[in-house]
Amino acid sequence: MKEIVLIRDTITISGVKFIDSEYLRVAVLPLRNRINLYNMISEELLSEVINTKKTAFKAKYRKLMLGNRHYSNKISLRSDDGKFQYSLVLRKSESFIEDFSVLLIWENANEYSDVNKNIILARYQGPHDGKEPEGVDIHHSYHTHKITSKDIEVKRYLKPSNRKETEAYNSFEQAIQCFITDFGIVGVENTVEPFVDNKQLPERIIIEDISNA
Amino acid sequence: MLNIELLKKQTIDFGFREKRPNIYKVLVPFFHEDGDMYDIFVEESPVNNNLIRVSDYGLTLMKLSYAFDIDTDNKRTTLESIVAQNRCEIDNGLIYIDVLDTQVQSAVFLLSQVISKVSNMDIISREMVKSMFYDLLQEFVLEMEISFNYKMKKDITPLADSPDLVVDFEIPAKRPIYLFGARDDSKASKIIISCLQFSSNKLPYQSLVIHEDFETLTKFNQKQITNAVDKQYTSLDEFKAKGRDYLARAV
Repeated sequence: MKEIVLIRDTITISGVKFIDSEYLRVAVLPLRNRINLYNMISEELLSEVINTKKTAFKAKYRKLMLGNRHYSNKISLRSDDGKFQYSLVLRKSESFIEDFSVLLIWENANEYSDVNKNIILARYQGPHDGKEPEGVDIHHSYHTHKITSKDIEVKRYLKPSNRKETEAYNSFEQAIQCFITDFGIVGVENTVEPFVDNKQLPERIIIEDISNA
Repeated sequence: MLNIELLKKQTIDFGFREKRPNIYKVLVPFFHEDGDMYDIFVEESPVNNNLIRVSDYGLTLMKLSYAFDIDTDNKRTTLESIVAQNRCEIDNGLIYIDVLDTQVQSAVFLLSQVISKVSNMDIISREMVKSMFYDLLQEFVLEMEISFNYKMKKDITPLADSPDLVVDFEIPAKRPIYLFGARDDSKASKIIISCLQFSSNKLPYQSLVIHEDFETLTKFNQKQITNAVDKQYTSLDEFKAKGRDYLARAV
């Protein structure tokens, strides 16, 4: 199988670069359809998309909106060079304030690859319980998920798998501030009302697991 | 050697962790693709204290909403259908089932199935809508057959030596109108290749493409199809709104 690498509007076949042409469209299109082009989102592109500076320009609501038992908002972002479009997505459970997610979603991946879906690049979460005991399972703690090349390869665009525990934040509002800093986002304060920090989590009543056996 | 006694213990060994007073999270061996455990809780039912409510506390829809909104009647109907078909109920985003305490294990399994299906609603919804696109297009084209009194042909191959190049509908006119439905990038690519081949073989025709959703095509295909075909409608709704006038002039 020939190696085909698409770099924007030029195509390289077996090391020979072709500029987009009538012949190339007809000849290459059927072949492209049969090749797994998952590596169209290279590590470099992924890194650029994640790390480039971004500016918020509008929000769906001025403040978090309650619906279907959770608070939500979506803030539209654009990279400062105008290339990439994103959403900063906020979700917090109405019932359990520690169950929250702050997400960065890339919305125009189809302009730079064959991926026709939005891609969740990162997610910061609160402690929402895991199956294994505390100390073993990071889901009992504040933790982050980040997209990997492997996620892209297997088309796991909405479930970033690289998980890490974090001590960088202790609440939903702190997670937002941390997220904004980590991903170079500015201008959020121009789109929404300020987030009020609520560090008060309910006391955990019972720590040990109750087995059914 | 199969140890069935061990398996018996393992398969009923759900753990429970108290989330709030009298609300327990069930530690189930079911996980989303990113490693997050399914969110399933048990508590006394608020409507009947002889029953146990097994629910997700709205967290399934919260997770789904990251990239898929239940914002149309069709999606709401699909969601309610998935829940009801699996004998559960939904109340303002909370998916639940109230059972006797002896039925909790079965209810946990049932709710897990619902969570799996709801969590993949974005795929199900897309496939259901996609599977109807060609049916709806054909329905409209047939309606116009009556209005314009022509006899439409279906699945024609204008080039005898290229049977792979298929036109969805041919509408007779001075220069016949080759009408294609473009549901996705794969079909769009085939349309581009077909039209380029028809043109290079100097066939007299007009090409008309109806997209399911033009915006979902890659930028590459958007450009190529715009350069290759004579007329496009970016959605079936647009074609239904303006297609009659176009065909009246073109036929």
